[in-house]
Amino acid sequence: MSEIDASWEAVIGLEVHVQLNTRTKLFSRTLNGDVSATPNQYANLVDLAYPGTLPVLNQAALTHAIRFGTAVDGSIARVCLFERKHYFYPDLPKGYQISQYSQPIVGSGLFTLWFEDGQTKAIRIRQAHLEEDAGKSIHDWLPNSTVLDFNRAGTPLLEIVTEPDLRTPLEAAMFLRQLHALVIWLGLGSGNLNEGAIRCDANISLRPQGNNSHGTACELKNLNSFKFLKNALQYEIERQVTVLSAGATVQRETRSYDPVSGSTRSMRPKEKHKEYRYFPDPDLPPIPIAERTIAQIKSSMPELPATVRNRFVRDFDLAADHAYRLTLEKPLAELFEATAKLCKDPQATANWILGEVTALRKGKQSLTQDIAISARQLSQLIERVTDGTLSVNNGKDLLRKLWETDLDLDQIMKTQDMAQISDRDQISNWAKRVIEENEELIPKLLAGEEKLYEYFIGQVMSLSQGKANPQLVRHALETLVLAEYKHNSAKNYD
Amino acid sequence: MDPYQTLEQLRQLLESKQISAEELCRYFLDRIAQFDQQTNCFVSVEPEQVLAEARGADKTRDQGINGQLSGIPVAHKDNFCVRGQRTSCCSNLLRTFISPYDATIVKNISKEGGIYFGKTNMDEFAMGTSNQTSTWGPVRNPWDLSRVPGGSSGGSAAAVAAGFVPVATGSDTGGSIRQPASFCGVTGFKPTYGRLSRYGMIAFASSLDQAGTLTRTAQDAATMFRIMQGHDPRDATSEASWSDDKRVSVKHPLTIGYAASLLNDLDSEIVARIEGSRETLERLGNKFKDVEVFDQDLALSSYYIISCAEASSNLARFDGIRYGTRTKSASSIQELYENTRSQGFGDEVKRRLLAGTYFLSTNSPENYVQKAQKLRRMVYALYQELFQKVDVVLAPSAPSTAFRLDEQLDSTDMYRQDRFTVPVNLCGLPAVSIPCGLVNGLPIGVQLIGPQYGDELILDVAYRFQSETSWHLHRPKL
Repeated sequence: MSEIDASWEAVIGLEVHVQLNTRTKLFSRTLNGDVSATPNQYANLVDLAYPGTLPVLNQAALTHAIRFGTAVDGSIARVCLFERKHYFYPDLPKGYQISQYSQPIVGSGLFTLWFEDGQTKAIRIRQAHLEEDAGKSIHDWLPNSTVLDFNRAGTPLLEIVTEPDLRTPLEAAMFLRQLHALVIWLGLGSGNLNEGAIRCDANISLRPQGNNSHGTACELKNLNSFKFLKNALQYEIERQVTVLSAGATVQRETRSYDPVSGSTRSMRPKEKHKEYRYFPDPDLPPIPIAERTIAQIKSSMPELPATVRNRFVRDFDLAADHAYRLTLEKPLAELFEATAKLCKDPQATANWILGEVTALRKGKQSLTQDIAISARQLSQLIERVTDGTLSVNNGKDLLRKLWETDLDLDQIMKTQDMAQISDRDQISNWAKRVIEENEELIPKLLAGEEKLYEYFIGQVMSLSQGKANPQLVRHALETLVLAEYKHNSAKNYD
Repeated sequence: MDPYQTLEQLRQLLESKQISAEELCRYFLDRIAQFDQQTNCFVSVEPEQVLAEARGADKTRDQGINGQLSGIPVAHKDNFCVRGQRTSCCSNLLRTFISPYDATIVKNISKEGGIYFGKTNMDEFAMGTSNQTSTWGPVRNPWDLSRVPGGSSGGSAAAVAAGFVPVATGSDTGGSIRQPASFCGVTGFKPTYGRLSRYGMIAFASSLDQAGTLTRTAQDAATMFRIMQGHDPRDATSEASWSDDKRVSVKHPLTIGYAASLLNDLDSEIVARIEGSRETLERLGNKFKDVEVFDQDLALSSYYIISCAEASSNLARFDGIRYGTRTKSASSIQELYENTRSQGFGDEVKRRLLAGTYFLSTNSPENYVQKAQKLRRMVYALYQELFQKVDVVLAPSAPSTAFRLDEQLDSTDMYRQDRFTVPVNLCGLPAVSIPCGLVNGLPIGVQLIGPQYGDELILDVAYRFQSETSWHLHRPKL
């Protein structure tokens, strides 16, 4: 079943845990986030909950949370309050997690979801709160043992919870993609999905189309890529449709997704009220958040992706999908804007960035790979291609050469002798040579085998070492072949 | 050599080189070796280590480097972490726990040259008023070995009373310094919440716990307080600034609040001692004013609900996973927790953890913790109002003198031992218990309670009191 039964509608809400990239952990002075560390290298006495140790809030994490809240236009709590959430688990050192329960630092906000056609949809953010990450239990390292790594214990997390406003797996995946982009845009975290820097759980229920009721939801755990999220939701919709269509009921439960089989399976029934015995952490007195602090953070916010997107469409006349793709990452948007202003050709700039520049970065196997070309270099490149000094292909070669250097474009062109040749006589001579060498093909050419032209052009280009202006080459060839045709016709009349 | 000398006297002896730090420490070590088998004040003493440290103090003194406590023995209650030393909280669960670090106040004391003299006995995890719940056995009161020293800082109070050390640290969550001070005839000082760092003091109830001292005199308490206090960036509840505008300035004479209603159900002999201390304070020029205090039993309920709730959370970390004594029999992680904690904790601790867990659970429809917090705010408001009218308050420290070890007090009676002391913790106030007489040969103390940041003020009143009286100079016969 690949199509969703049209009589059902999915209701989806996400809970996204974002690891914040603060220098130290949420409540200790241990360095945060070195994923290459050996186990327990970054676990001090506070992280290991040694007797007598106490947590002290890392203010940078609070600032990060307020920045996120500001970005989604959420309400910011006037007091930062932490509570203890109790449960026993070996990788939870204190026997409780310090979290926010009654007063999340960020209250209701809005996230504008963009579609590539420029349509938008408002997704309500229910809340975002700060909490500490747990350590890791590793079950497959030693036989019959569980080993514990506390490097992650105490890493600051921002848990972002949406209202159930998402309706399709695609919407959910796009939301996660754009939230991920926002997190990186704001500099809150690495966003590295493979390393668990962003982790997503989804709640999903079905209801009859056109009905506003809420069905029984299942929680899908650890959907740590856009694709997994989409596929897991797709599978879950199909599963729930099957259950409901058979007249049965969906069980309220937590399910895990297996990317290999592409299916979800039940982990445990979800208890209605799990007993966490929340209460305010007496080690962390409530911290009042001054209006002035919020105002300061607001004034230091970068222009947000949605604003930039609208501006690109308005000021540079970009298509919505181009504007969207250019604003998924801040460095890309910045490169676009600076380049477009220099070369005054926004469309060409967008094409180059979304084409070649993006391809080059993907080649480096990392989406967050730095862009290793300056706006000045790229604008010069675009100008040379536009004015015909450089062929498109040579432009692409040149871009590769410029990547990770700060060389001047004209200089490289000179030393590499890459400038496009537009000398008509020179091109005409090459064309004559190619025609002479391929005389036997001329009748076919004359008979209208257009494809042969490509072959002839290719031959000329190779004689010119790729530097001849291809348009002039075609023109020269056509002129010569036409002359030959006339010559032959005249002979026939004789 | 007189074992009952003040810090100032000992300092002069050492400075004038009438005695070396090594000789001084050896003297106290010998005294402990001779008498502590009877009293069981210390749960660990390492004589060689003490003497090595003392020799170091002598050396630095010769080099002209002198801390305020250079060469002077200081004992720590067993809930203060001391690097490289067993820190067991007198619990079976931590019997083998060696702390890898120093508590901030331990560090502050050694910075001034204080010689770490060993760990004193206490009620397990500081939960108790008789020092009978220790895994290392009960402490016996030096005044009468058949009696308890009070608790939970019973080892510290008894050690100072027995002349084993001139000063010992303690912790006070609901009276754990002041009640044993009263039972043992020593000066017990609990500062304003936040003025001494809690970092490295193993938590019982975070919002109530406060470190303090057991000393011979109020002056010694003041000396120790100056050394121990200060902002600690590792403790978010430690007060951030020591601007003088927060401190209540020392003055004399004072208006002292006196709640006659508190004395209603007390033994007449005890009432007479408290009346006597009132007269002494009047003779010193202070004026008394009758005041009403908060209903003690309500305050006590609030205290027990909050302290048990916080304890149930604070002690969750003792799971046997990372440190502490792990059970030898467990076939699942659940069993490992259950057995470790069942075998590790004693009955009183279990009782409070179970109660605290219940108080915090959403299944308790009574909403205990919220009600208790409401009561706590009311007690706080009452004391705020009270200190608009009076400078300090005089109150009993304990409802009785030391009781016998074999007296079978039930939990509730035991808990009611704290009724004069817990309101101070609920409000984070400073209070000092000073000896004010003997009843049937046993000491009894009286409490001076100050407004927030009135630490120096109450110590000054206590100092003036002790200049006028000699109750603090009485000694038990060992």
